[in-house]
Amino acid sequence: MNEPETLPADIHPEATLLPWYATGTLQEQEQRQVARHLEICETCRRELEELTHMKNQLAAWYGSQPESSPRLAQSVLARAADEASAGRPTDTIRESRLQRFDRWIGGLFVPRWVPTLAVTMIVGQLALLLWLTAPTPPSEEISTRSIGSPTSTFVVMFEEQASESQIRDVLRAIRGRIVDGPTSDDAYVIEAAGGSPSLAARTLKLLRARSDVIVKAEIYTP
Amino acid sequence: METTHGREDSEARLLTAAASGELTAFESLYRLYETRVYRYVLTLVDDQTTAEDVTGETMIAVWRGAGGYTRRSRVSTWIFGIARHKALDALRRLGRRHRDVDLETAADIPSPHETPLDDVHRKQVERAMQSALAALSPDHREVLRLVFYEELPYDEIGSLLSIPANTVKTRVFYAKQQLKRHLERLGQKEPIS
Repeated sequence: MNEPETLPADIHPEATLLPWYATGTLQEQEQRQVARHLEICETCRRELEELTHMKNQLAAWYGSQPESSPRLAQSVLARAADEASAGRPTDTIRESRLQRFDRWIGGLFVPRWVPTLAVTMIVGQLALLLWLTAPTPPSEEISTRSIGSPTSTFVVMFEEQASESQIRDVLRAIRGRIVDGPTSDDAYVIEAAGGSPSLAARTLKLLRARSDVIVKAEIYTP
Repeated sequence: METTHGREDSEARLLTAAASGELTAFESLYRLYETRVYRYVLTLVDDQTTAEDVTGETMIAVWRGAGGYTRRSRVSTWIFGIARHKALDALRRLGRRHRDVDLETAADIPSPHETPLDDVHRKQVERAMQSALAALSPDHREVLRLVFYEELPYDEIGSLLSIPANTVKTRVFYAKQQLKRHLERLGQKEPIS
C-alpha cells in the first residue's frame, strides 16, 4: 500500500469524517459539526452521496459472503460446554487480582468529568508548588516600615560588636525603626512609636537598659 | 430498533455472564458473532478452512477470556481484535502473507423476487465489486470493511489496527478513492438500485 501519510491540502476537515457520518457512528459533537458543514458545502454533499452509495454496495457485497459451516458452531459450543461442566480453571472464570484492579482503575476514568477534575487538581498542585517555592521577603534584613504616629525620635550609638539580630531585637522592643545614619560619629537616628513625653522617656529607658547593644542613647532634638 | 448503545450494553452483559460461566450467554454471543467473525477472518486469510479454524479459536478465546474484557472498547472491537490477532498468527504459521484475495467465494444465489434482468445486473455489480476489492491492498480492503460493513467508529478501528485515528481517516480516504477508481474502470458507475 503506497499512499501518502497526509490528506491533500484542499480536503475539508469535515470530509474526513464523512464515512462515519454515513454510518452514523460519529460522536454527537462531530455529527453536528459535519451536518452544519454539509449545509454550506456542495462538494462534501456530493462526497457523502458517493460514500452512502459505496456503503450500500459494500454492505451488499459483504453480506453475500459465505457463512461458516454448521459444524463449526457445534464444535465450538461443545468445547465450551465441556469446559463449563469440567470447571474451567479459576484464572479464566474469575478475573485475576490484576484484572480486577485494572477494571477498577479503568472505571475511574469512565465519567466525563474525570479529565476536568484531573486538570483542576494538576493546576491546584502547581499553584501550591509555586506558592511554596516562591521567594519570601527576607526577614533578616532591616527594612523601612510604618510605625504610625505620633512618634519620638532618638539618637543612638550602637556597640561595635552588636550583631544585627541584637539591634533588631532592640528596635522590635521599642517598635522603632532607623530613619537616618550613620553620622560621622557612628550615631543613628531612630524613630519609635509613641509621641508623648512619658512614652519617650520609657523608650529611652529601654534603650539605655540594653547596654550590651547600645553605647549611648538620647532623645533627638533637631 | 435497538440503538448502538443498547446493543453494546446487551453484548457486554452477555460477555459478563459468559465470564461467570453461563454457557447460554456465551451461546447467544456466539450466534451474534459467528458469521461476522468468520467473514472478517476470511477477508484476512482468504481460505475457508483456515477461516473456520481461526473463527473457532477466536470464539473459544472469547469464552475463556471473557473476564478480561474491560469495557474500554466495544465488544465487537474486542472480539475482532482477537480474531485479527489469530488470523495473522495463522498466516504466519502457514507461511503466507496478509495478501490479496481471490474473491471467487462470493455467494451467487439470486433472490426469488429477481427478474432475469435483475439477476444479470446484480451479477454484473457483484463481479465489478469483487474485482475492484481484489485490486485493493489488503489494508484498504480491511479498513473499508470495518467502516462500512462492521460500522466501527474511527477510534475503535484505530485501536483494533493499532494505528492513530488520523491514520484511519487518511487510509479510508485513499481506500475509497482507489475503490471508486477501480469501479469506474470496470464500468460500474451507476448506483445499485
